Amino acid sequence: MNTALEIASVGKTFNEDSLSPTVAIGSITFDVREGEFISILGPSGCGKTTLLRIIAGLIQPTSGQVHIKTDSTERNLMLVFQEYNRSLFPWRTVAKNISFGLEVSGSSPKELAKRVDEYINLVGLKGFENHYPWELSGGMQQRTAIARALACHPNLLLMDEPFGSLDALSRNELEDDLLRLWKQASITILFVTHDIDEAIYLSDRIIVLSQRPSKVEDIILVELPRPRHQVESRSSNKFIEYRSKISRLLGRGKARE
Amino acid sequence: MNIDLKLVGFWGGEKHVNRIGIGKLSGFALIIALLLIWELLSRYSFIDSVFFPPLSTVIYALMTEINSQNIWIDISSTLARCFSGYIIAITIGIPVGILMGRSQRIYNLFEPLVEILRPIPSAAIIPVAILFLGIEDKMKIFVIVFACIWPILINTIDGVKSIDRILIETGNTFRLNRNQFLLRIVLPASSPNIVTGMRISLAISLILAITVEMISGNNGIGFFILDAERSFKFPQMYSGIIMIGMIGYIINWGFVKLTNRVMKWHRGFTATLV
Ligand SMILES: Nc1ncnc2c1ncn2[C@@H]1O[C@H](COP(=O)(O)OP(=O)(O)O)[C@@H](O)[C@H]1O
Ligand SMILES: [Mg+2]
Repeated sequence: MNTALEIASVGKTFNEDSLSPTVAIGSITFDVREGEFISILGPSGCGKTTLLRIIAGLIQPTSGQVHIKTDSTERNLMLVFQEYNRSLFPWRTVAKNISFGLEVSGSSPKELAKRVDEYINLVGLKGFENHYPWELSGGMQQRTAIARALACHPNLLLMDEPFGSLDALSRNELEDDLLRLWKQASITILFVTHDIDEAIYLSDRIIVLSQRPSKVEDIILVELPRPRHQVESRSSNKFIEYRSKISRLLGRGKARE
Repeated sequence: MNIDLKLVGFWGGEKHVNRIGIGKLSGFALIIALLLIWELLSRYSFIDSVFFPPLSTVIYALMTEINSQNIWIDISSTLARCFSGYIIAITIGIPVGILMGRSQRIYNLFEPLVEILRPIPSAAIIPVAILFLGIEDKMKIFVIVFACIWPILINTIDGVKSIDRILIETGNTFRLNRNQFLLRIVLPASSPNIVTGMRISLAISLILAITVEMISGNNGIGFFILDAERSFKFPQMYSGIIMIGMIGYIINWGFVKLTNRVMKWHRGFTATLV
């Protein structure tokens, strides 16, 4: 399979010229193949969000490069923010939020209506088209944010702890929805989380980051069969092995500091 | 414990009823009481009734005026001035405010000028405006624009500067061009502040229209009021004042209705009439 994304020795130091610079990312290197589901796992504050913002082009790395491979000339990636409730456009309804990317890229009204309808159904928000974001629960807001990103047909989807603030039930539900969408749309997903189980459940591979200044501690290949199942997959022996391995990795990272 | 809870509920309920029902009624009752006192004071000559005619006389004059052609010419010329100035102030204030809010360079360039001009009471620039623009509508509209622009400009800058960083970055992930970014992200995101500024300026535009009409010219409600006073037509003078009060109320009511509709996406944005 082709490489979708190359992270080559990316480092980021905030406030470089000040007396107390923050080395957020030491040096990170890894590749992502097309169609892969990759999780980035690391203790909070280790620069996961920073890395996604660098990949999305919102900020520049201090060192290293990001290469994004696409067929088209245009870099087609979308970022689902950790703060999804602040990232939705409050002046737009659910349907209008989802259509935003299509509107600005000049889709025809017919195409636009069709695609909005498709993604409303896909994320299960039928009947909430004309609601404003503040009228929705956290889970529904997150679904809207995901649908808004997917409606642009990205080939690379970056997600920053998207289910972090949800209750366990809607979290499991959304995890399964995401896996289904990922399979249907055949996109590459880079999924940031600090939840070990979630990373194992979702991913093909897990990039485990160390404490700040972060580097890649290890890359875990998750060989659990797909489609995965919330109860069976999570209770399999392999799953438990992965969990203890990663726990040890993260523990080691902490002990060293 | 139970009784306590019930009491809280009871008082809470009562307060609520008070706020929406009796509260409003008592406000109207106060107005009616004041009008009655006016009628009585002047009818029984506690105050010189030439300068202070009874309410009934004023209402009679008001009705006569409303049925005449001329007053409508005055009303429409006042409104025309008011809205011309207001629209110009919006057309300048919002774009400049957005640019100042987005670009530190433009902000640094204009901020000192704004801070020097803004505290000048608008009436104080009337003599200068007359020197350069004459005594006709050009001068009058200029003064209205000068007065109206500051609340719009300042609130727009505030609104733009306080846009959530996440919203800005979200906009950036959609790779918008400059115009798309300003029109589809910055403008709507700062609209609650912009609307607040526009509402303040709407009231100001009417105040200044009346003021400049009293200084020069021969039409408009401002002129009508002053002219009535100079010709000792005091009931007409008071009727002009009442008219301008009613016009102000209607304009504000329309604005509140309109913005509550446009801003209905904004939780908690329900402008009230006062
Ligand atoms: N804009 C910024 N300026 C200065 N420091 C920052 C900035 N953004 C993040 N940091 C710092 O960089 C480190 C990594 O932050 P972040 O990427 O948000 O971590 P994570 O998402 O893994 O929790 C933190 O110590 C944080 O305080
Ligand atoms: Mg983060």
